[in-house]
Amino acid sequence: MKKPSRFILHIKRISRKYKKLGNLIVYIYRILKSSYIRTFVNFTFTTVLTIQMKLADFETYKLNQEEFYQDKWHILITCVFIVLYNWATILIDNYQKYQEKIIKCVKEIVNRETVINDTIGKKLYEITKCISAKSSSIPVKSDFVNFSYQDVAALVCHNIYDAIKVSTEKDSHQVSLMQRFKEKKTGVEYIKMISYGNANQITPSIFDKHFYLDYDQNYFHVKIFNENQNNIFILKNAEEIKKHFVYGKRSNEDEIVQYIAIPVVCENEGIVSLLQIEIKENMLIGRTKEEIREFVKPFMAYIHVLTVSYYQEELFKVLAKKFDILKKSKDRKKSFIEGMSKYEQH
Amino acid sequence: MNSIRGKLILIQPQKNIEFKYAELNFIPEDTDFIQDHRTFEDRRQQLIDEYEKELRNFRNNTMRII
Repeated sequence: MKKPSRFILHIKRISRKYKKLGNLIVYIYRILKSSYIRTFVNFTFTTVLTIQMKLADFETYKLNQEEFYQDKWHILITCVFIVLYNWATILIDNYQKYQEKIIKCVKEIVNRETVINDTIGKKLYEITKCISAKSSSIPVKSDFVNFSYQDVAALVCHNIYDAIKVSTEKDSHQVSLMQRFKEKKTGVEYIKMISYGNANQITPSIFDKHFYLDYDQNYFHVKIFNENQNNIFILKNAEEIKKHFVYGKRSNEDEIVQYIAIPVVCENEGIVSLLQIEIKENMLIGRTKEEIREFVKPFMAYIHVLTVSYYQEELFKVLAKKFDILKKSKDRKKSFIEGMSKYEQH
Repeated sequence: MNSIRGKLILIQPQKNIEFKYAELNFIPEDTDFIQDHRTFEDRRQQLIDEYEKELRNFRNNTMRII
């Protein structure tokens, strides 16, 4: 995707900072993007320049004489205005093209998110149908495993990978999801990659590798989990990645030039997952942090899908445990009644 | 007879239910997740294929697409 010039971004920043000036800039932008106004301005400039050329004296003095320029300064001013006007219209056209592409990208994301939600809906319906079919029996854990958080994560990573591929026409990037876990016996918390989206259909080497929140604090993603801040974390170049020790001593550290991490935060639990986008081409999704942030903002829709999915998975787990307790209780009661009936017979 | 049954009912795991419920922990154990590289890649491809099929159907439905 062609990015807007730094000047446009600078203007945007100024207009956000100073509201009155910002309103004026927006007003000028609206005027200049109208094709009617542009035709009128072009016509005016042509007329003014023609009149000025007609009024100016090109015969008395020669081009190398100082007097030649005395009555032509207004032509120079008009020319400067024409150049500035054309420069402004080119900038506006570029920005509009960028905006159109962003809208197209957002629409694509909305459509894809709808399909993810539809897929989740269908899986949930299948679970409901399966449980309802066995009307007399108590549901068991296996009834709820048809669709997991890991499955949703796989779809989300694939979609974000695809969205970047479509908008940048490159496929060297990788999207992955780190998840927080607790060791059953020791209660020690760690994170590990549970899903990814990439071009080569090969699992990344760190898939399933454990990063302990207490011992591996040097790793950037571990720090994010420990600090528990709900922000979009952006490292915009290789130096920053090296400085923040994103991959520890991993050998291919130099290959990655941009790193973006977006946490999935749940109430009372803090960060439960971390979506990571790793870029291997310079300035692929933006030159500045602001540009990168603008680019990844639409992906927040997927973060919400993950959050809801996480809660859904938790609900299933609680239900499965409760049903298990109920089943055990029912079995005990059954065996007790059987025992009692045998006792009564005697 | 009734008094015997009453005593036995008290042994039912009522307290046990409360205890197990309090034990529920929201941070998951990774045993519920696919850990093997090959198994996960197969599952991922299956999901993506299903999803891409749904996406094609969705794109054909002009009423829903934006």
